[in-house]
Amino acid sequence: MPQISVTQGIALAVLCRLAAFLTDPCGYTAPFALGTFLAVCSQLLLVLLLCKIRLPQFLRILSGAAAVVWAGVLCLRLHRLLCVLHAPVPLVTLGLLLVTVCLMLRHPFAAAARTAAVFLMLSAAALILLPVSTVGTAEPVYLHMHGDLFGGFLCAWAISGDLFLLVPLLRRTKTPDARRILTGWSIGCGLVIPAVILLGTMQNGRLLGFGGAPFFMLLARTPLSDALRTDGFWLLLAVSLTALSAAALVQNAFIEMRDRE
Amino acid sequence: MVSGDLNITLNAISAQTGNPADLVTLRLTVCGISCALLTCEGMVSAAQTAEQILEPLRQITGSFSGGTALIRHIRQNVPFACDIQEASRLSDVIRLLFSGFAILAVDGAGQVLCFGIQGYAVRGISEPSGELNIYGAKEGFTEPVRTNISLIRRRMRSPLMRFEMHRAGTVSQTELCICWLDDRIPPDLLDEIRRKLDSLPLETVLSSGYVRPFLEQSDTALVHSIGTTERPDVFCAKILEGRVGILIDGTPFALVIPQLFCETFQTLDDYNYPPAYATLLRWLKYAAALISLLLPGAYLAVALHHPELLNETLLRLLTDSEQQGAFSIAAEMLGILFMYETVREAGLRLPKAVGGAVSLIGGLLIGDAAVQSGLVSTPVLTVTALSVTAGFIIPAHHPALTVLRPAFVLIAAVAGIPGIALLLMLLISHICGLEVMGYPSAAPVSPLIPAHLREIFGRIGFTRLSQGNFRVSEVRRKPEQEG
Amino acid sequence: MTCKKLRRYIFVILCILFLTGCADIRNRASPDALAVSGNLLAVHISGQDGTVTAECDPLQFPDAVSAAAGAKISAGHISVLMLSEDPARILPAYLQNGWIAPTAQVISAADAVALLNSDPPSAEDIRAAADTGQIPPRTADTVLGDLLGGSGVTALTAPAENGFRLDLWDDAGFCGALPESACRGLALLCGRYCTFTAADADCCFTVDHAKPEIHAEMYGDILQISVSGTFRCGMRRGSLSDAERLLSTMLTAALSESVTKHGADLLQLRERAGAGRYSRTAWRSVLQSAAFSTDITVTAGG
Repeated sequence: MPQISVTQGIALAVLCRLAAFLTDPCGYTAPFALGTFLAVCSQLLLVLLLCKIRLPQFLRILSGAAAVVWAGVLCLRLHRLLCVLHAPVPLVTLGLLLVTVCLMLRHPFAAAARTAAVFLMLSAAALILLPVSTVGTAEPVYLHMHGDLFGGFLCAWAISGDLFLLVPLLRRTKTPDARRILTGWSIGCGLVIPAVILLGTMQNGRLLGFGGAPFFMLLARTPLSDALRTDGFWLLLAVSLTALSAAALVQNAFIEMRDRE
Repeated sequence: MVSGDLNITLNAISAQTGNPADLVTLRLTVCGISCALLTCEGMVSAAQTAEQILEPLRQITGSFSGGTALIRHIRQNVPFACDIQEASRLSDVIRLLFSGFAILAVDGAGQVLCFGIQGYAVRGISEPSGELNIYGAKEGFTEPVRTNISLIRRRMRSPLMRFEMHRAGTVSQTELCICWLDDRIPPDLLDEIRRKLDSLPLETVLSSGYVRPFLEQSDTALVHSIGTTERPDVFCAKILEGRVGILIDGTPFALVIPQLFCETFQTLDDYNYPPAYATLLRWLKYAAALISLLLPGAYLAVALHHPELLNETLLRLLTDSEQQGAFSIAAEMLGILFMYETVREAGLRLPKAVGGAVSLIGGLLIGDAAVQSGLVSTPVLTVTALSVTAGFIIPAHHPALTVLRPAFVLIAAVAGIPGIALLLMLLISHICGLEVMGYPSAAPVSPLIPAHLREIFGRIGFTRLSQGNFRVSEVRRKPEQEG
Repeated sequence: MTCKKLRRYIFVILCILFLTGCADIRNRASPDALAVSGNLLAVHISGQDGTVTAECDPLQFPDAVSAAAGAKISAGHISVLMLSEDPARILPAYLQNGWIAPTAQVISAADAVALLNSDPPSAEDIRAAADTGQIPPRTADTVLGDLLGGSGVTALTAPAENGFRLDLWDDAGFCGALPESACRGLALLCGRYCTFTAADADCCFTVDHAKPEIHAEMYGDILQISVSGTFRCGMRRGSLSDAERLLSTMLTAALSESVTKHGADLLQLRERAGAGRYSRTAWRSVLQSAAFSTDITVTAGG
């Protein structure tokens, strides 16, 4: 049974959530961010519970199947995003994505875990630069905009397919490392993502349920400079994270289904 | 086995070797006992043969009961300035004969004496052809493995420095020397290397490239997890970090196990420069690697599918420049890459006298005539030139970059930035999945070992460097955990 | 030849086919300005003289204009969109489809196509006007945001005799034009555009630094707006009190003309007042019955 390090565990879980977040069409408001935070708190409680109790075999198989389904859902969400962003040949890209996932499945699980750690660093660096580029254009007044807290709560649950990856990982990991992974996941999903939502609120303003790609709407208003836009980088990251998450979910599902406690 | 009868022994050797033209047999008598000295012409020095073997033999006096007694006397009482071995099996005798030993067969003895007086022509120690350094030594490995051992021994005078000889190649019987520092290597690593070397299914080992695929995890990997070096100083630096080196007779390129991916961006000169400058160079190499790999594909993706990512001025500039092109941008890009590879390969293979003509033709044809005639546009040429020039900074990755560049161009032409993202993800996953004997290639970035990142993101000063020397064993994956 | 090898060759051939068929940078035209007047569309292609006109439904923009231009339209660089009609009909589709960038300038004109063909203002002209305090910055995203998320009334930049003014539009169409003092007041209230020169018969001064604060509070269904803040002025003619009077006039005009007269929420009043519970129509009514006050401090600058 492959063991992974703390950083890799955090990376796998957080990037799976980030991939779903980047492809999420829900508009950004401050209550939405709060709803997301509350959803992650409730998910944390659920994860703690699931790690403590003994799960019957059929539930673990079901969880594995759900992970595979979520991998497919992530791919379809990416396809939808590519259509919204008018990327070239979205269907061909979807096909290439599936081929990439299949090729990645041939590598050991450790490869996906290590790749996730690399992409975690990349994503962290990019997310640090993001608020820097919004300094001149963010309007804090939009934080007072009316929004749907319960909608945010539900949307966060709707993109929480990373739990199918996180819970089995935690169950396989030794307790001190598992605690650290869970802490890292909580910070990433419960603090960083809501912070990005707040940033997007200040940037996107009143264009709420509009566009289908609120994160990329945020980017459209915040080029790093006249010559340098970051949309291409974030599109690259969204596609890469989707491929990585899909591969990790499927591999983990197979490991879970093979495992007999 | 060696027969006690000298004539039978000589006939057996002659029969097994097919009576080759370079086999020289000198019959002589020592204290009344018939002997024969066999050498391979060109493999031994005639002067050394006369001085170091024939002269001492001539000075032997006394009577001996037989060949065995004579051999015993020679071994025990006659001082020779060269390595002497005894051999009783014909296969060993022939192997040593063809390794440049002089074989003394004595009538009545069931073994022969083998004198190590190799005097074949070898290339002198010279500056390595690649891996040039400004401040480093100007010595490089040469073809004889023994000479290379001496180059290492001069730099590593520790009694813990080990050299262990092996043979590989069922036909060539090439000598391989495993080198390591005894206090830094896990025993199971050595056992695994020995096992793999002893079971090489090769007839001959003519270069390090023959051996490397059998030691790596996969012989189809784009990036090597076993490094090569032509420099004894680099070799010693790697050994000090707890790696295992393999010297191969007949090639100046030594193998180093393992090679971490991030180390391919480091050179010995980095440790001679001030840390700030060395750090800048390191980041320059990282940027160069990305430019070399991604720039042609990125340009194509933007020009074909994502022009909105460019600002208006740049877009107009590119559009105006591309107007004159006769072919599609993708075809131009692939054509230029192909032309570059053709010119580069021609420059490598042609004799030096003609090599200059290749540069002239390449520069004139591609750089001038093609652009002026409109066959190729200037932006495509510029992008390709930048990309291939950037690739020269990291020669270790040149083959991988050469293969991947057109792959990125193709996928960018088909699917734009998403295509590049998928191929890049596959590549990173491939690199992260590489391991050799438990050492992940992507370490210490992934698995993350923060203490060792200091040498990845920059070059720290020697004061701090000496406080915590890097040992590659720290990145080795333990069996029960990832790292 | 085995099946596997054949599949590989087919893949390679497909890739090559893809390469030869792509519309690349040479076959694309990148317009930098687009005008929509009813069913008439006109674009100015960057780097070319003249415009390309097409008669079609504005929602069929790229295909129709591509046919007219003889090149595939790459719409990502449109920096000015000129409209002769309801932005509520055009803007959502254009932004949704990525035909204009969220930061594109949107201009209202009686005949947008004629304006494009004659003397079209550039994005730089409009930005300069915003920088000098003539008008507040109005880009596609703020225009649409005010339409969808404000009170359903938005302001578009329009060419005027001495530069630019603002035209108000709602779902039904054109509401009215804001006078110059109101436009300047709105520019001041946006707070970013500090250095401009104001003059009337009695005084002339330069505003070096402006930090206005807008407070909006709901008292039941009554909205109370108060504007305060500090303005640092370099006086050329007249006194500080004259400057204060002129500035107050501008701010009052901005609020009275945009908020109470037309019910336009161009100053994020809904967010400031926390009035998300109101529908757009109800909020517009609230705005039209809002009370406001200004209390600014003017200090002498360098």
